[in-house]
Amino acid sequence: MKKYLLLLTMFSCLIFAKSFQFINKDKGTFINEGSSKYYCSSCAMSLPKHYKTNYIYKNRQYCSIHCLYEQTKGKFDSEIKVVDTNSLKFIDAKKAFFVIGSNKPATMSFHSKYAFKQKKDAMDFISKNGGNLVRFKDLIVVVRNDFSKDLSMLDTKKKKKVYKVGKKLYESNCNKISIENIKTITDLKTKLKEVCKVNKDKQLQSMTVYLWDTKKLDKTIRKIESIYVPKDAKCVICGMFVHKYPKWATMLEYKQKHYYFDGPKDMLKFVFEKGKSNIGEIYVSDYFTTKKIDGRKAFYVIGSDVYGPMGKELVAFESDQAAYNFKNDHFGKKVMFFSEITDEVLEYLK
Amino acid sequence: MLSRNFIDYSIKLLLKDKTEYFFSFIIFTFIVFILSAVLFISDSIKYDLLSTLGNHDQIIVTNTKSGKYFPLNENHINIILQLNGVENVQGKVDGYYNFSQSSRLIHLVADDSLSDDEIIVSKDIKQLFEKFHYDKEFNFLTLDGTLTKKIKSVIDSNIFSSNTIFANSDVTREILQMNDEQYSYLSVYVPNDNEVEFLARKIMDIFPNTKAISKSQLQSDYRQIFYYKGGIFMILYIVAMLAFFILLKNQVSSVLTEQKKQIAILRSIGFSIKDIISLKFIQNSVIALGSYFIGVLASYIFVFIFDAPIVKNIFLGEQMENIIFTPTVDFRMLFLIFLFTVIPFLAFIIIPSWKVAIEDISEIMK
Repeated sequence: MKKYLLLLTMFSCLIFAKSFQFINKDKGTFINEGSSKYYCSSCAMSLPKHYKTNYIYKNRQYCSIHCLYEQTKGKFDSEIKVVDTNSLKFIDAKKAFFVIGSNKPATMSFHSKYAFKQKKDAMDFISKNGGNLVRFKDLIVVVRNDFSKDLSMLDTKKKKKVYKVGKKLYESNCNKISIENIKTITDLKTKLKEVCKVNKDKQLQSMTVYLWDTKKLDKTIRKIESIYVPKDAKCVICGMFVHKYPKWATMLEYKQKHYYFDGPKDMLKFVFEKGKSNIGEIYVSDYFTTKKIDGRKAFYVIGSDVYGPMGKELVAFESDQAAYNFKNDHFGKKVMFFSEITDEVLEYLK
Repeated sequence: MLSRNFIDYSIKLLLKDKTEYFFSFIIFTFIVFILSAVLFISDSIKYDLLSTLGNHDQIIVTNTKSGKYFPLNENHINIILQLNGVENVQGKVDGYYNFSQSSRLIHLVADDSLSDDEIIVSKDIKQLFEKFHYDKEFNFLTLDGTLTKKIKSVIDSNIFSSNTIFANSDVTREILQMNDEQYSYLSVYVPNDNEVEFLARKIMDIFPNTKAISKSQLQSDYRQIFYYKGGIFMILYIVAMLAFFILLKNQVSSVLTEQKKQIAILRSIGFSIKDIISLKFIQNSVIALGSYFIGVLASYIFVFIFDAPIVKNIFLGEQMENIIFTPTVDFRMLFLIFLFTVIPFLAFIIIPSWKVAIEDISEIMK
């Protein structure tokens, strides 16, 4: 039975080797100058790989409407051209019919957007793949609404994944290059293609993004550094060994000595005992990432269904967005700042 | 009390009655051998199964469509990455190649350290290929024609990597007819273990037709398979224990009949009851400990150096001739075997000898 299932699995896979947006280089129109002929002017992604969502604006070709919007900030004062999904020719975007939210893949966005010259083609596409028919004016509204969400999606992806992958690839496959005199991201990608031993566009792209963002845009690579807890450190409030619960570990400085606690609750008891003004640095662990964060700047959630080693806890977070998400997911009562926590709160947590 | 001479004497006495003890020594060794071999094999398999579930596969997400497996795409990765608590999502490619000439499904696993024209195969697959005269290369049949790949090297396989071909992810995709943006499953890394179960549920909420299995669920699934096999081992254990008790009975009766005289003579030349007991204790602990350690050592060599030739098939069935076992020793279980064999053995010897020793000497000597 299992074997038959596996067989069916194999044949149920869709049978095409490339994604929907991909075309061969000789089938499309590419107008960018010189080395960046096949790269998007805004993000350096491969144009033929995402050809069906390509745009041309002021003699520059972009891989998606998201990139175009990012470059122009949503102000369009000359002609925009877009690829017709069926004929693969560039057409005037103002007259085109767009299908939003079909089940075909999107480029740099949550919602896919494909353009058609004829209304009939668009309707056929909708009947096969779903989605809604809109004109250019409405499309821009949708892109504007999606823009910040898409940007944060891409940003999170870069922080959590792309930079790490890019860094690893760059360090193991490339001769080091100096980045000062490289003006645009597409030049950088072209340069990397010469000096690196990788042949896949995806790998090249992640290296490009890593180098460009960290060296030119001063973005930092996400590092998770947890609180180091010595093996023999005991919580002075409850006497438990702290290193058994590294995800709840907290630390503070008092009279040039480090004290460790197995949760923010016990730490705060200590703080109230000694008086807030006598305490030096305070560090707590972020619940989601186990990262060492400044206790005074953290956000605390009370009343959730997550319990620490000492029962009810103040769950600490680095960002307010994470704290509110946690509160909604885990039935929390309230998100608090460090300064809002009082004796009554600790009483409530008993 | 326990002088060197006394110990020396008891060992000499033991060697005098070599043949009598020899039988029980052999049986004892064999039983310990069987028990610990079964234990070593089962521990090793369990270890391989559970250790391959690495730390970075905390949630495994698979996709289904109308009840069948279906590839995931980049969009799934983007959305799962947005969740708080998820630190990394890796798309993995694997699947099964249907080697129709021998009607066998071979597991294909992506390994990006390989170049585009080579594959690594496990030992049993290599043997299978040789049957069909694929000595240096292998032709994969796909809908787009044949792909010829060189066999770069052959690996010894454990329970997981038998029946496996490794190729880089592009080649794997080509053979499995997947496109560049598709993945067989996603491996989600979550730094905080407490959130794993919750996030798995959340992923299934976002994509209703995906299945997100957490690491602990996977482990319990594997254990389940294992406990089913455990029944077979249980019977082995019971048989071994029965044989052991037969051995004990044999020992006891030999003490009661043939050694009665010996004990009586020793008593009459001035040995105390305590001396008799310690004499017997020394003799039998030499046998018990000797056979215990020899048994354990022999089974270790049998399992981890010769890879358990016959017993392996009982455990794993056919097509598993080339599996090698990772050496794992569980001292707790070895200690348990020690408790259940050596201690009762000694007790069963010492009590009857004591009973004989406190009887009237003249009665026995008659």
